[in-house]
Amino acid sequence: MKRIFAVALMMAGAALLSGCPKKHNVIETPNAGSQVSGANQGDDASASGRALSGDAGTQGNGMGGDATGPLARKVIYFDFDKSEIKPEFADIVSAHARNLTSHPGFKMKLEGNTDERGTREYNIGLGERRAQAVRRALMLQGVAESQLTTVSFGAERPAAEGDDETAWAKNRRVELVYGP
Amino acid sequence: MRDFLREHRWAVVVSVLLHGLLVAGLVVATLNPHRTPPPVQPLPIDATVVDSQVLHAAQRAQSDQEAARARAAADAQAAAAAKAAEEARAAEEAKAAEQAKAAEQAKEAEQAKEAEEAKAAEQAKEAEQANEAEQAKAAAQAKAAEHAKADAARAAAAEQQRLIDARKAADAKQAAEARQAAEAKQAADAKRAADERARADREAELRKQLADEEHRSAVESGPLRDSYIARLRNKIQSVWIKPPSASVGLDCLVEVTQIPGGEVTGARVTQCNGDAAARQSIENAVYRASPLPDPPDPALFERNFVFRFKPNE
Amino acid sequence: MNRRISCLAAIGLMLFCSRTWAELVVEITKGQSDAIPIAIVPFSSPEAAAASFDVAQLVSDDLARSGRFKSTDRRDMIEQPHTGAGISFDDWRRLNNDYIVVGQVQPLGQDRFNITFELYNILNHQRLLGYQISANKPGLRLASHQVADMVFEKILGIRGAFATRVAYISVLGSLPHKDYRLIVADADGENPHVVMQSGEPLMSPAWSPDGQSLAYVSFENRLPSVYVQTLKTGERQRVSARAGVNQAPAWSPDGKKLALTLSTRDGNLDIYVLDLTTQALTRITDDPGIDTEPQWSKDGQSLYFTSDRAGGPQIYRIGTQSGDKPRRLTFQGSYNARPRLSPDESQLAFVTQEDGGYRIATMDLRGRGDVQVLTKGHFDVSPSYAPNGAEIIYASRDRGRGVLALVSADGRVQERLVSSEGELQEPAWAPF
Repeated sequence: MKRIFAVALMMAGAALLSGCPKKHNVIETPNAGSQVSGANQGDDASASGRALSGDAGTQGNGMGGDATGPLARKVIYFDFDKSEIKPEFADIVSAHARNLTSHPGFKMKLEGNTDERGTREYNIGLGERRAQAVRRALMLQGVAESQLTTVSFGAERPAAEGDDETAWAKNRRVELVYGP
Repeated sequence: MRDFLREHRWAVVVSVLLHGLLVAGLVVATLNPHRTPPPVQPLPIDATVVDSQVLHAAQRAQSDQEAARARAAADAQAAAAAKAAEEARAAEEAKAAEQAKAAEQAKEAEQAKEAEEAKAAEQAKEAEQANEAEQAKAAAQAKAAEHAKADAARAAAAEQQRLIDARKAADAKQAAEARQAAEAKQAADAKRAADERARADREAELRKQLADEEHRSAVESGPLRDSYIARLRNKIQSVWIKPPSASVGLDCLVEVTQIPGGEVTGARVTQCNGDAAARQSIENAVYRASPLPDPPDPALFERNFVFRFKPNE
Repeated sequence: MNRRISCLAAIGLMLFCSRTWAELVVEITKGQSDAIPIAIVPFSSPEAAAASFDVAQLVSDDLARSGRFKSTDRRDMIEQPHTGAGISFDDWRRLNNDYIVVGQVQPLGQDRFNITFELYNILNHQRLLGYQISANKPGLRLASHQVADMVFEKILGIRGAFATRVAYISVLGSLPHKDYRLIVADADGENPHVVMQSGEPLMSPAWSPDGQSLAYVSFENRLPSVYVQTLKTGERQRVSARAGVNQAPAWSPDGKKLALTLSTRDGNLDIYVLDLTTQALTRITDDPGIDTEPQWSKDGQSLYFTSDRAGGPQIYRIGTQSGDKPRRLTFQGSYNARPRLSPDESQLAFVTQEDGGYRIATMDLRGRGDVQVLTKGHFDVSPSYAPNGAEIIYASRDRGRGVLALVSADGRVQERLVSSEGELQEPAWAPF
């Protein structure tokens, strides 16, 4: 009981610290999605339409039937020591954002990773930072906070072995994992 | 003979003892070689030779003094021992002579006794031939006379013994007095010697200062000395395994003794602010550096000098 | 009278001579970092070969591995005495040995042994040590390490750490099915015991001050949680499984608290202190940057940690009392992380980036804060001090494989540890 209370306190504190604007964003986006609001209307409609067609063969886990579309790609790669989402991954973010917003029941885990360089614990922090960057990007596009969790594996679960840039580039990533 | 021995038992025993002592004394005296005092050798200098710029100047002066004092005391002791030996011998010889005299006197007394006894025996025989009653009387008289003579002899022997004892006491007293006189003399001599040595010290100081300058200009200020010091330093630095605790701040002195050829015969860590590991490493370094390098000029050879360990890294 | 005068004259002459000798002091300012040559002569042992354990070999390996000793090869031993009386000092000196250890192993009855040994200084023939240790057969290894400890301490003045343990993570197999193991072994790498095994990553082993427990991070639920495991019983307790990050456990010196890294909902990593008895959680840092890798000071009043609040990771120190402001300690270079305090608090070890590689460095905490980089590799991370402060174990990479290595705290000596199979990482040296 005590622990839940403590966690709740923390989360409240965190919410306060994270600043109100974000909260507003979270509230706004579903509205933007559900309301018809002037200039965006057309876009939204077409966006949702696209999302729907993309979801035609969707299973409960959110996997798109479109094997070559952005929804099939679930990994976003990053530059060294950076957590900004590069432009070439914007469409993946958007695709999954639409998928999640149109399936409020879907949940996604964002797994942050780094390459092996540096200290392990600090890399946990960097991995978390990347996962958070994707989380914010998704939330900015209307995904509910409750649908997303982040976890950082730091350098502990590399995708590729090797002590060179080829391997490292493949390890600096966030994986989008559907599921509870 | 046997009667004689039985009747003059004590006299015989004493005379045998005295003769025995005399013989033994003479034998011992002849067997012991005449002991001469040990010659005063130049002792290896134990004093630390240190650069006047280093804080050891005072310590060295003190240790020199102590060494000189020790030497003086040793000499005084040797002289005193010799004297005492002489006195003792003189006393012994006097005693032996006295004992010989006493023994001779005892012998003479015995001889006198024998003559008397022979006479008494003859008289007894003559008295027997004359008359039976007179024989008895004479025998009795003779016996009485014999007894009286025996008593007299005993008394004489006792007298002799008393004389001997008295002489012995006198000798002992003399010997004791002689000893006391000898000791008093020793003390006076030692003091005189010390005073003389102090004077000699002062003279030596002045002489040394003069000679120092001469010697210094001859060898010390030369590049040869620098080269020798450098050789010593390099040798030690190449073999000193510094433990982790021997770092900047360590300041340790080692007094080193070497023999010609460079072999180290002694290494003593004196003033040192390091821990046991540092001290051990320093002592080891000196032994590991043995034999130390030869000086470029033999005049530079120092039996005793100091290494100062003061790492700058 | 004549004799007296000649005595005085001789003395006067002697004084005269002594004072004319030059005053010579040679100053020594440098030494060598060489290893001390020591001969560990094979101990005599009972005939039954099965019972005999090569004590001398283990002692010799320990001392050599410390980098401060050079053990004489057995083939170069002209004789093999077992007691001091049998040592021909001059012969050993001629072969350049400074010290010698001789000894015997004697059976004491059913499965019990007596180890008797002596340590001599060959240079001055002095006997430095003489001891007897009794042990049963499985304890002979530990007893031999204790012999090495005693010899080490006698000669170097530092307590030996040969009879201690290390914990580390071993990763076997290949993607995507890796096998993670938390292992506890002797300080020489022998006797490894798997303490925890998982198909998901294990991280950050940390010894409790009494050496009885290990705290670590486990991803066994595909989420990181901090566990405390009692080694003797294997009993595990999950002490922190909060949402988000649960990482970098560090024991307080009294063993009652853990400093941890936790994250807020928005992924802001900060340092907290968890009281293990009351479960009370105290927040220590509050900054948008990544604050992690906490380490306690010996008095339990401060924490050293890594923070990138200034851009890149640097090392800071903060008091555990509320309201205390953190003070930055590292200013050289753009990456300084993972602080570890030496047992006597004279030094801080950490990971620094230099020439594109990650290396182990130390900072002098007692002087002017001089930084010295100790290693030369590209991936030297995770430093951990030996309990005697003389050495640091760390993780490195050798030809693509993760290995463990040792470096002396002054950087003079480097050694590679015997590595078992798998990738080895995150070593933690147990306390005494």
